[in-house]
Amino acid sequence: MAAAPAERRSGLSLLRSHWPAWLDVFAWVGRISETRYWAWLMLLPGFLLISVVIFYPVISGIWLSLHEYNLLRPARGQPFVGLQQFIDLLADEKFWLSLRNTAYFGVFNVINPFLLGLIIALALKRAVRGAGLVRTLILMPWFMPSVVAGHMWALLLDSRLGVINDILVKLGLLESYWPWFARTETAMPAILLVGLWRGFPFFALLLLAGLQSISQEMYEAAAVDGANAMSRFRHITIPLLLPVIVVAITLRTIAVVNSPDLMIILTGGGPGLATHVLSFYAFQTAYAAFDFGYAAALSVVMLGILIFFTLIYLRVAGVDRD
Amino acid sequence: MSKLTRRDFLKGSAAAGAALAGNALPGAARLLAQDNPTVDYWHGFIAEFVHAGFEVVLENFHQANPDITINPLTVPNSEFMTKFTTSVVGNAAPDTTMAAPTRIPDMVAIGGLQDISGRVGESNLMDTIPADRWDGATIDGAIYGVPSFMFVDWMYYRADWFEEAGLDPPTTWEAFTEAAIAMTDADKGRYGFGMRGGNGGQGFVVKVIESFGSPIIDDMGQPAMDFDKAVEALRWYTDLHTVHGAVPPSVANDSFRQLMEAFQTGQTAMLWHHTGSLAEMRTVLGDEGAFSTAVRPHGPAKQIASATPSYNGISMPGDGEEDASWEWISYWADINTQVDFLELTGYFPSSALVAEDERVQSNPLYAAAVATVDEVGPPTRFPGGPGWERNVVLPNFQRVLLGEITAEDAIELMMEGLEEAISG
Repeated sequence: MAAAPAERRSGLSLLRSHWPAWLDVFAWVGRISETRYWAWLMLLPGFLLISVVIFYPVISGIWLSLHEYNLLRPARGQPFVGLQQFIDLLADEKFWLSLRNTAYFGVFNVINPFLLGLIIALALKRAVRGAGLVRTLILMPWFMPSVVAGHMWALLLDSRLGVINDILVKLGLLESYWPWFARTETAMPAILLVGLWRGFPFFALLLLAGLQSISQEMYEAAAVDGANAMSRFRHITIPLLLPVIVVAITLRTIAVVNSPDLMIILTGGGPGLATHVLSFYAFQTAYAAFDFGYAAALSVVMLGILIFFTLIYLRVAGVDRD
Repeated sequence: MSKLTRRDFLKGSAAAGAALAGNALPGAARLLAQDNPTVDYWHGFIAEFVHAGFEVVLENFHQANPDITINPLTVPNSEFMTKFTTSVVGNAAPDTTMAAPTRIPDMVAIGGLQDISGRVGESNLMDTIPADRWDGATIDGAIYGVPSFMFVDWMYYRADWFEEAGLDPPTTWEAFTEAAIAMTDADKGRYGFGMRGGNGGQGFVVKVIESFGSPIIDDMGQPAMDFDKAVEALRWYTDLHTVHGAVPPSVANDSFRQLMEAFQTGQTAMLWHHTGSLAEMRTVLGDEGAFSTAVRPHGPAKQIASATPSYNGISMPGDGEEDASWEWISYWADINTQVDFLELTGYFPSSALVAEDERVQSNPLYAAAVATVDEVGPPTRFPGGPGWERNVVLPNFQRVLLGEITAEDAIELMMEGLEEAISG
């Protein structure tokens, strides 16, 4: 019996002497799998992928923001200008106005869909019959591409042919058709309405999944202890749903602040500068003025704002304590 | 059942490898394609009737040049510069592309169009297309595009309404104001003029400013706006809305689609556009006299119009595809091509020979274009111009329409923006 392992080793050696040299890599992998470097090796493909699709563009954008780069002035090349473009931003009225609009757009385009999504998630959790179908239906706005949704709402809110104007006039809420996207006071609220329609399914779906993971027994125990519906909501639902809420709001905020698509389709940043947000400003600076350096500076500021917001929000929400 | 031999397998593998290599190595693919070149072509023919005309041109070209394959890609006008810029920066621009004259300086500046002066000089195109129609694609003496057809500015008006009111189409800006006011009945949702205040409206503002005697740039390409004349022009134009109420209240968001619908559904009496929309107008309103075309009014200095050739240029052709690219873009300047395209789309010919064609001269709807085309030139253009118009002129024009700032404030901002756009 004692000779058996020796025979096996001998057989392996014999096999090794016949296989091609490149197959030794498997032997090397086998050896390294027994060491502490194995975990790093396993992480390597993911790290390389993230480096290519995330780190490189971010670093490239930061590098670009420190250089002048205007495609219309190729003779100037890409000289290093340090923080000059960020200093220029401080004196740029359009930047500050865009920042203010971004805050307005970002806050309400997250809070409104969140509240509606929460209400719908709570309702769907109670519903039994047809809940699956409703769940699928409410996802439709989320599935629809922004461009299609934008054009559809442009028609619905059209000042001449829009169904919404027609309904409001027939209900006596409006005297005549209202040019929603052409008036300063209603352009942003109209875009927020479209954002609400587009965004609530995202919250509803995530929050519903979170709600369904909360044990029913906790509610029953609280009810036995005399907690009313509002108390149960405050002391059970919200705290246990908090991790989902934090993730959903963070993701939604990042998506909203980075996307100029609704502005491009519905208002072009107007009327005037009423819906001119930072992402739209960066887009126009890059692709209408071809000033990629300044556009990169705008984008880096947006990146900084989003990182700052995310850190603050995670801290306030107490996620790090968990 | 046939048996797969080792030789078959090796043959298949070799073929698959060659195919993969052809895809992976563009250079190899191009070498293979030299005998039967494929020419990429970016265009903006989206409307159904225009696309139908384009298909006819494609088919005719293929019959005349069976060895050349055209690979067309429709790029919406609003997205064109975004996609084109990205493709140039990524060294993946198409072989050939349609190019608007206002965009050509930018396209040349970013290295997206080739100088084709030599090929043009060797051809007979200069004999059939008037010299001034090359101006929109000529920069520092070098030619970057071949004129294919023209968008000649004109005005649509509701002939039946004007007849009812006993008015002639206005020829001056004062008469235009009077007609716009006379045709307005806001209670009935009817307005005298469909003003473009949304995207695209910036070009009209520039033309109005020029028609009042203020240039935008001088011969050296430097800012040359005349503050007083520009203010007078902008005030006249915006007063049509803010003072006279002769423009729909949705003006600040009204773009091409909204304005066409407003005119076609009887909500506006006059509309400024160009020959490119005639086919749609006839399709919707018919030829029974509900609408007609007229020369756009004159400002104090000149007509509020331009005749804008559309060009085809060579961008980044692959090896061995330069000649095929030239064949394609020069084909568009051919008399027969332009006649075919005109008949199907209403797009006005750029060739002098075709413009004298009986079918053009005898059609009363074309009279306004014929009268305009020799009087006006291409729109003002300079590197950075489209960005200035879109990012500075349009929003400040809208702010005046909304009463947020005065015409003086707006012109001041436009002049500052122009200085920045040109000198950077």
